[in-house]
Amino acid sequence: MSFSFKKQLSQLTDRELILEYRSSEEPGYAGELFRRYRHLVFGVCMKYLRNQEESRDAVMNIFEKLLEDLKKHEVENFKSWLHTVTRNHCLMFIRSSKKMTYASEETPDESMEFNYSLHLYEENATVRDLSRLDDCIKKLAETQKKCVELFYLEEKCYREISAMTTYSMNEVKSYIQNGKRNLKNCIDGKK
Amino acid sequence: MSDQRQKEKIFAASDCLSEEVIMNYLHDRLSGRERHAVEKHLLDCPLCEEAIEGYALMQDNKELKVVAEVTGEKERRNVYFYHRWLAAAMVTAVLFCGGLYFINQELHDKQPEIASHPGPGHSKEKKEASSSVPATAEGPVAVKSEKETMNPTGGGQEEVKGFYDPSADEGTHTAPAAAREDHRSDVPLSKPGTVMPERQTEQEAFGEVTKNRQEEHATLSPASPVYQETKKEEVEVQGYSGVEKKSRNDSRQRTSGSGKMKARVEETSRQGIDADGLQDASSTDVSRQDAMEDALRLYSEGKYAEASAIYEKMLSSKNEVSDGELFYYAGDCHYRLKNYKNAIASWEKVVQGMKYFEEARWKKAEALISDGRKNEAKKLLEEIAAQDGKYKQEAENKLKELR
Repeated sequence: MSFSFKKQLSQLTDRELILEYRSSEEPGYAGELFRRYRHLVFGVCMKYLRNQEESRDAVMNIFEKLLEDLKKHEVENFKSWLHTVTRNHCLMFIRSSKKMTYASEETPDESMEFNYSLHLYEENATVRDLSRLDDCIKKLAETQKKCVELFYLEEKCYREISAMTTYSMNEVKSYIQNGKRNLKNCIDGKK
Repeated sequence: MSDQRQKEKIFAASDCLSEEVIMNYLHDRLSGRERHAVEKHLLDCPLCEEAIEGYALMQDNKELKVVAEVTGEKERRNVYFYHRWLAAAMVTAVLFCGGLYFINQELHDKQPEIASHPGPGHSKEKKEASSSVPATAEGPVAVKSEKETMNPTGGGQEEVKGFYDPSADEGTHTAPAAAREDHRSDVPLSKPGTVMPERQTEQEAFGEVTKNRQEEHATLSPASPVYQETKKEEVEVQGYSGVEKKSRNDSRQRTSGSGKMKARVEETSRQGIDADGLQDASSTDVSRQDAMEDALRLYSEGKYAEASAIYEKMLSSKNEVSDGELFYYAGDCHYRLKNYKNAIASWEKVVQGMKYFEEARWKKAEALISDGRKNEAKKLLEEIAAQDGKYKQEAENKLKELR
């Protein structure tokens, strides 16, 4: 693979890489996707499998599967699709090896959260009309409003916000998450 | 702030986190602003969020290059390179020995000639020796050409390996690796050439030239002890002048009042304290930043006493240009340790116009209440409620509670 080809690859978007891969079946295109996301896939695998060796194997398996799947399926949002594939692979692996390192009660909860996350990916792209943002921010609960403002508008990190308010880091994080979700709901409701 | 900008700030999508950023985040090596950027991305990207959770779980999440670990590429690549350089070295050695043999032969042929004509022959020999100097350069040259011819074919092989192999790995990883290999291989390759015993005995002129070269190299190389020593000295001198400057400033202030001798004694003892204690925390912006980050970390871990000690140290330092932030955090540590009087004293120092003025004023009101000084608190809260600031609403609520 020539240097210029590699350079070209790095400039393509995920979507373009997928389209090129589908039309040419040149593994280099899928390889570029692998290069972009392998460390994240590894991280997600680590979260579920809690074992470096198994996670490494899982990364290889996932990308082998990906080579085939990308040819078969239309993938609109590669990042969220890859996330789903990775999670499913890990959950399947856990189930098949009956190695429930991840507490079983947590799993359904996690997948619920995941559906929401998927939703987020799409929403990020579709939310356009935010002209009433100001009104919506005012409607947030005081805790959420303060954290959202400090985080997004004053660009403080969790730790700084925790220091400036009396909330713990976890509280700060959840106020921001909930505040953001409420903002979205508020804006969408007004569309 | 316009709606459009607010909108961008809250909903803009960003690229995923690199492995380096993840590690730096987990190892607490990012500034507040950088942490914010990471956290903002994590809120929007469940893939990165779960990945970072995974990395955090790794018990030995040292600086291991997880990517290389994932694919096992690095090791394979090194072995591959090793073979390539071994081959290059062998070819060079063969060429070099060939060259030596050739020169040897020529010299032997000319030996009788030299013996019969000592006068001009002598100069001729010298000529031979000097003319053969470029021939030694053949060693490195040959190496280079070898490298050049080897590289493209190597690249071809990589490509054939396909998907998971080095071809998938981009320039960022391969290029530096190749460069390192380059550097390493150069050293052992040039050495055998210069140390060949045959050469030294048969052609002294030759030997001298290479010796000179080696010497030259030794003086120029940054790795040589001489070079390192001078560098060290430079650093020491710099450090020293810094201290000296400081002491001069001090002495100017102090000699004005009491006797000069006494002042000097006092001054040196003061300096002593400075040197082991606070100088680090306050002498430069960088170390100040570090101290701030350290304190903030301790703070977030709930170690308020330790954090407070750092803040107080920084504040007591002469060089510290006190800003609102420092007083604010110092006060907050006292507050959480229930030293309300100290907290109030710190927050009082955050005057209007300073960073965190509003926060400090609001917290001061809370501290006053906790300290039992309700009347003062009420006054302050009324002041806050009267202005259209961040804590207007809260102050009003608090006032209602107090009534």
